Amino acid sequence: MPHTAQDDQGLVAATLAGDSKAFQALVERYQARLFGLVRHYTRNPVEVEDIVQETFLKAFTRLATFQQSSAFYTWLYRIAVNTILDQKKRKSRSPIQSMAEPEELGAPSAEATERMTVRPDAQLERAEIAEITQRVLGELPDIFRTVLVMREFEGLAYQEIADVLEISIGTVESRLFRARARFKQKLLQLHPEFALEGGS
Amino acid sequence: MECDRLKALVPVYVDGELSEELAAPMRRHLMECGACRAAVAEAKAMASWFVPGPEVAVPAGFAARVTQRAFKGVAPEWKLVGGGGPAAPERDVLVPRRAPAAPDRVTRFAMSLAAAAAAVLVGLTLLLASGERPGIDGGALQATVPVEETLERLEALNARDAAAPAAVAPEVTNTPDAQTDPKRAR
Repeated sequence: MPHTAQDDQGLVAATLAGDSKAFQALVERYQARLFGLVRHYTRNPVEVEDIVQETFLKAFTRLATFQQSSAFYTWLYRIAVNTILDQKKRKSRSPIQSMAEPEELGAPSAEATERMTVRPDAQLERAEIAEITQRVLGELPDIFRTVLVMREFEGLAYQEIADVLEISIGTVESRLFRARARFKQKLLQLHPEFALEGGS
Repeated sequence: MECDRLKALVPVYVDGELSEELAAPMRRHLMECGACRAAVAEAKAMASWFVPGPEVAVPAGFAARVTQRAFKGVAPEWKLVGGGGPAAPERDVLVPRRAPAAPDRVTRFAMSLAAAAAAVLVGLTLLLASGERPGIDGGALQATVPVEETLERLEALNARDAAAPAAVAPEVTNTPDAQTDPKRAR
């Protein structure tokens, strides 16, 4: 059976048996998704490549610890997210906000923005919307950016987010709620022209 | 009352994560409640901001390079540090391993000089030590005289000593004791 037709579990087993082509097939299968994920955290293409490479190398060295019962991509994704946050920590030399205690950050003061609808202008190109969104995301704390990226761009289910971040589904819900409120608040701060009165 | 309870569920409903048990009454309520419909519209408007940016191109040959590095051995350039142990290996950090630096030209020259000096010292020490050994170049120890000849010479000396006792006596009689001893004087 060609490697491209094999499932993740089969490729992992073949890699552990020393089949380099199997590992290459795994990399080829997920490299684009990881590049897409990492670019939400850095726009430097060299850094993006370094982080993705480091993620795969870490996965390779720890492949024997991968539990076959879980989804390979969730496991890989978790490595990637931790690699991103570790890299940011090393780079900034300052502690980032903990992933474990997000609720201490408190809810954003969103009363003023709650009644507003923030919709992209119909004239905006998709690339322009994406550019604005990336800028706003870049202003958010990592814990909020991470859940938004996972949900809105990666399309992960609540349960998958909970698995990756090792938190409960209830925490995923509340963190997403806070993250969206913070995103909206920051968006209005940077681009008040997109505010429409008469929301909820 | 119903609005307050259901409004909190709007984001979950829009995300499609609400169980059917809750989604069914939510749909019925939305048919009747304009405020909650607005909340749903607002949540969907927010979602419209999250459009994917331009595709990030994966560099050509990336997978092959990563695979080559992985199978060549991550160890030479990388090592895993910290982390959560076997239970949470994904927390490990892969950091560059610092390779032992090759000695530069100056260091290599100094090392060669030190080695040469050590060799000279050892040579001198051996030379001095050999000069101090007693009898190394003495005639007796280095003599190649056959054993039989040596024994013959020894016997000849013994015979000479035995044959000439008187030659020794006069030397003895000259002593002060001999002058006072009448027996030995004769």
